[in-house]
Amino acid sequence: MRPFRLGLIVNPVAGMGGRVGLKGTDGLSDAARKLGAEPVSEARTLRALQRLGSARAGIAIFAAGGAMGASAAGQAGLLCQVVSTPSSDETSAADTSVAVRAMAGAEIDLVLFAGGDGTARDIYAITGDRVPILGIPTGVKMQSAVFATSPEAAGDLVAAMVAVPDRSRLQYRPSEVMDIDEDELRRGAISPRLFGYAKVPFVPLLLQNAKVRNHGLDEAALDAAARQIAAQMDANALYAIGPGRSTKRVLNALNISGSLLGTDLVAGGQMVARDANERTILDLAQGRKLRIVVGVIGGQGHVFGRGNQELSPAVIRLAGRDAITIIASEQKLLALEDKRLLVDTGDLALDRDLAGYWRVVVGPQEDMVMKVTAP
Amino acid sequence: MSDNQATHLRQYHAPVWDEPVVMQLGYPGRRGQVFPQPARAAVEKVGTASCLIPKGLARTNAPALPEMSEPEVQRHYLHLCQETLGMLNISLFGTCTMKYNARVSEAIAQRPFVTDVHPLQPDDSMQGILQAIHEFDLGLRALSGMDQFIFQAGGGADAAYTNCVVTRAYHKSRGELKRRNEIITSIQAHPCNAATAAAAGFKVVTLNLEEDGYPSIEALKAAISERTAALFINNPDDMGIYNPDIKEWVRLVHEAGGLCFYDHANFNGVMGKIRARELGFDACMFMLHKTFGAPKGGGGPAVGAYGCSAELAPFLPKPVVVKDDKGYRLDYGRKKSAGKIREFFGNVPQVLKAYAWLLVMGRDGIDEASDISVLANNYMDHKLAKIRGLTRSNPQVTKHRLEMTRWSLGTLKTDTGCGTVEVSNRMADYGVDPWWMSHEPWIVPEPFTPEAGEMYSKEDLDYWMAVVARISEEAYATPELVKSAPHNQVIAQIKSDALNDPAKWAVTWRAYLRKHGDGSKSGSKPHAAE
Repeated sequence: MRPFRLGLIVNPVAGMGGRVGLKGTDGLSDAARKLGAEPVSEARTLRALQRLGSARAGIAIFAAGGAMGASAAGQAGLLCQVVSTPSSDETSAADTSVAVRAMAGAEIDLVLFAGGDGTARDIYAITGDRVPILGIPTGVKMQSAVFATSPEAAGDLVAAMVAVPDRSRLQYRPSEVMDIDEDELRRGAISPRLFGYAKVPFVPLLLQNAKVRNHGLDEAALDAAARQIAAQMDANALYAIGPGRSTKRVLNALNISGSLLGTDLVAGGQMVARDANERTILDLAQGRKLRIVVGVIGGQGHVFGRGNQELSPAVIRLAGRDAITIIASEQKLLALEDKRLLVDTGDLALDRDLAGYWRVVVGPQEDMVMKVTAP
Repeated sequence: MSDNQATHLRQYHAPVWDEPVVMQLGYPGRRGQVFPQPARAAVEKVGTASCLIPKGLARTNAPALPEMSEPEVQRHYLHLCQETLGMLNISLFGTCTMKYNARVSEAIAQRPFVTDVHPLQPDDSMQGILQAIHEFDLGLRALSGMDQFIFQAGGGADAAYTNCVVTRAYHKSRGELKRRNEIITSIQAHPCNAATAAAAGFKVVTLNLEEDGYPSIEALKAAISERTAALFINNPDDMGIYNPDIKEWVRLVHEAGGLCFYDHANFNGVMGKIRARELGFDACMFMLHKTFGAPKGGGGPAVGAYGCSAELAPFLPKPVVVKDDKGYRLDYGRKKSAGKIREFFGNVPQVLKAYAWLLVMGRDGIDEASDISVLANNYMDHKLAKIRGLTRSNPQVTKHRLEMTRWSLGTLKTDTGCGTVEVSNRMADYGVDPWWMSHEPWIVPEPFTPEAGEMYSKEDLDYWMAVVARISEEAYATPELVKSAPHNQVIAQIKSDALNDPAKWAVTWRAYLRKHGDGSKSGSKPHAAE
């Protein structure tokens, strides 16, 4: 059997900004070091690699050079093929890109990376939804759903993948790649964005804290729920279909293509505006009922305020609570750490109004009651 | 037995017989029983046995049955029994009440007055059976406060489905079925509640557990509406935490016009202590094959005893065993009946075993058994908490659990890579039955949910916990030993791929041959792991 081809990328400075209060390390690793920050990424990578156990024999590692992967592999006693060399000691996003490109050309089965949202985003920019990726959580910001719950869990997941003889049976799920603009975050303005959906391996029992019903059935349940929402649409209302894969199933059911990462406006079964901003939504909603269909960000549970800022407090107020439908897979809801949904619209009074218990559509004939909390 | 002996782990290895499938055994012409030929006079008068079978029903080819002598059959099943831990070990299973099935009950259920009765024979010719069923019904009424029980459902999920059809018939009779199409349940109610509701055409509204270890009353209020048909709930659920607000829950659902169904899968912790009807419930279900000492799993068919209030009784599936001044009879003439869940009036031998258990236990015995099972679980809670890598679910809830507790091996998994599957596999190496992981969804990582019940001795529980403690030590010291377990069993880890692969699974010999070829010709035997 062909060995499992594992790409390994370590962002050596990821996580350094966290303990010194820099809210991320993008472009600031020098500043972090001056504040006394210690690298954490390599040690956490080592923890993951040490979990490979007997799976090691079935793995061929393709690592970025030096501190970006080869060093951690070496410390774990793993031979690796070095696919790229960092341009200097001060590694950068460009070095990550070079390494991922080299891996993408080498029929990699999985890119295992150590970093945070910034690293995930750099890697996703090249792998897209084609090459599977998995994050060892080492960053400061980790809002993306591409990370294992711990370095050990990441190692266990890789070992479990290697143990599946028929690779065509491995399961993947599209998972959110989110990032916040760190400069804005440091200025106090949070504007996280949804960059897309990476292909992330999924082995029930190992990655998530929730083992849930069959993944395929979950997808089918969402599709059926979306068809039901589409079939019951009020022809006179304007529907704001928020970003995300769950919500866009409603557009699929209507046979119209929307923007995965933006809010699309639909009325009478037709697309009225793609990727609309707040102004467009408010303008087009004049004189008719506004309804919102919104998803849940995996891993963290945000309904409003992450990746869908165009669904602003004004938009939400105009629609009203009763006109909001939340749709998400049962699997996603049960995998949330504290089983809570969050709203963070930037308008505390509105957040408090939205707090409480909501029904979330998880299937055509199934709702789950979830508690929504305000900041 | 001293504590020392109880916790001394035995040397154990399962016998390996490499036992073939029974269809591969036997030789042409060999027989277990050779029946005498009928008397000539009889044949002359009515013909041979095959003449008596209508042509349309007679098969043209002899059935493909193994041809074996009686001792060969006995030996085959002895081997299988030895290879599978024999069903008489310590089995705390998990989320299921495991009880010893008294041999005297088996003997009663095998008497001719049970085995030779046919449900279509006249009522007055089977008064004894009907009386036993009726009296057992009365016993369950006493335990629940309900007004009528039936035993048609062939298991717990079947009883939940019975409840769905009764609920449907009730709302239909009031002209509200179209509107009342939602069943409220919780994420830790037995999954059959949601599944049967969906199968019966209802929409399912699921509540999550919160800080107290059960759903909050606010969540319930958010779920209740004029569309509510019923609440299906366990209390306690598998977390083992009793919801003390349950009366208020029932009141709220009733206020909205819905019905309330108490799934008594976890009855052991509350039997004799509470009565479903007194809490306001309209219906409930008992599993005779668990709580009431009738065999579970491979031991025979199951029975979900379903009971309801007088208001719902007209909608029960028929027939119902009733008593009038002429004696006992099967009442088929029930106009509002929801129909049938299964044929006739249930798995009668199981009902009799459960009735025997009820009579032997008596009211005080049942009360005491409940106390013992709660005490045993709390004893285990106390000792399991000291084992490294184990954590109790809902640690913030300090009050005692009832008859079971959901535990987590999340810490052990993070620390060692050994989780509930690996530990369970290793348990078999010490001669105890592996636990069963827990119902989906796993809202607690790497779960297990042992249930001591009233039957296992303190020494049994100590031995079982000593096994878990040893495996925890092994996981920290030599995790590969645990991950590659079992080592002392007939076969190593079972590849479960075939169970999910229609091209491989085979539940009949014919299907096996079709999918895997004739093992006997190629010289290879069917692999036990598949």
